[in-house]
Amino acid sequence: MAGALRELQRELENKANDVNKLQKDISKNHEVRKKYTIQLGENEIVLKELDLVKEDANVYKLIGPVLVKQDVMEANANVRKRIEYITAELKRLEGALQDMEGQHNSKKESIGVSVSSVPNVYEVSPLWVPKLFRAHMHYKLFGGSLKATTKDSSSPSRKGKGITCLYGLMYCSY
Amino acid sequence: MEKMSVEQLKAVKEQIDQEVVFLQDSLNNVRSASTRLKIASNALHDLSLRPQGKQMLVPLTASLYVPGTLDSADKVVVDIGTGYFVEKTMAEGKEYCERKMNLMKSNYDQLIEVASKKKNIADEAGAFLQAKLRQAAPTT
Repeated sequence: MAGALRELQRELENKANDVNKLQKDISKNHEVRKKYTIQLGENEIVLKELDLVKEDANVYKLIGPVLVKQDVMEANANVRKRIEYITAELKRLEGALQDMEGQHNSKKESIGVSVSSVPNVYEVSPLWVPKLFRAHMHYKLFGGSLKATTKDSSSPSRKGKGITCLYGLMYCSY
Repeated sequence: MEKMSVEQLKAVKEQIDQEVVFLQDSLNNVRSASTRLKIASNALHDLSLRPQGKQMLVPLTASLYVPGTLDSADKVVVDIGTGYFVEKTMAEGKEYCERKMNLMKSNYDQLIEVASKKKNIADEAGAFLQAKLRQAAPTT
């Protein structure tokens, strides 16, 4: 029994770590996308401004500390290319984000399945609790599919139908 | 919102709070940008009144000034962002400032609207959350 429990614990730990890592990646993705969106906005403003400029006007580009004279057409093409690149990059990040979210959800579900398949656990090692609770936090945060388990978590150790919720996802049958 | 669990409500509230903070930041940014544009516009106007060859002190750093003479006041170089500068006439430069200020103003108005809406939603979620917590408290 103890061996099986330890096995299960390790498995859950790994899964929880995976989920945590994915979550970190997702928030990183959010940050990068935010940065790119801001740059896109700025570039669009510049493009609008360049469109307003007369063809023979003097346009300068700041390279390091010096202003280098540039053709209007050239500057225009440059900014357009930049916008294109940023838009492509944003699209790529969007795809990656969706990918990660899909993985995230499936990982969360797999944790839920393995926990609910725990057979008649009578003793709970105290080591379990924080790990499981941490895994449980993800459900809370994302309102995942484990509503039945999270519903009881607000009142731990409340008895119901012979099954008692101890901590978070941890259930004991009585 | 009534059907949500305490956890979901908490998550929603947290998220909206974050959005509200973000919007406040944006508002501050827009405000400072329009202040800077106002200063630039004033400086431009001031410059256009000076005659050519006027003696002036040019700031190199915040505390170091060197004497110089005004060459011409009818051409200005405008920073339009992302490292690009455009040479414009004085009138065009003024128009640029004017246009940018209008843009900031409209952005500001839009942001204010969105921010106040979000704030209302956040307050609502907070109220629901507290009601839920009060409900849950006596049963435990």
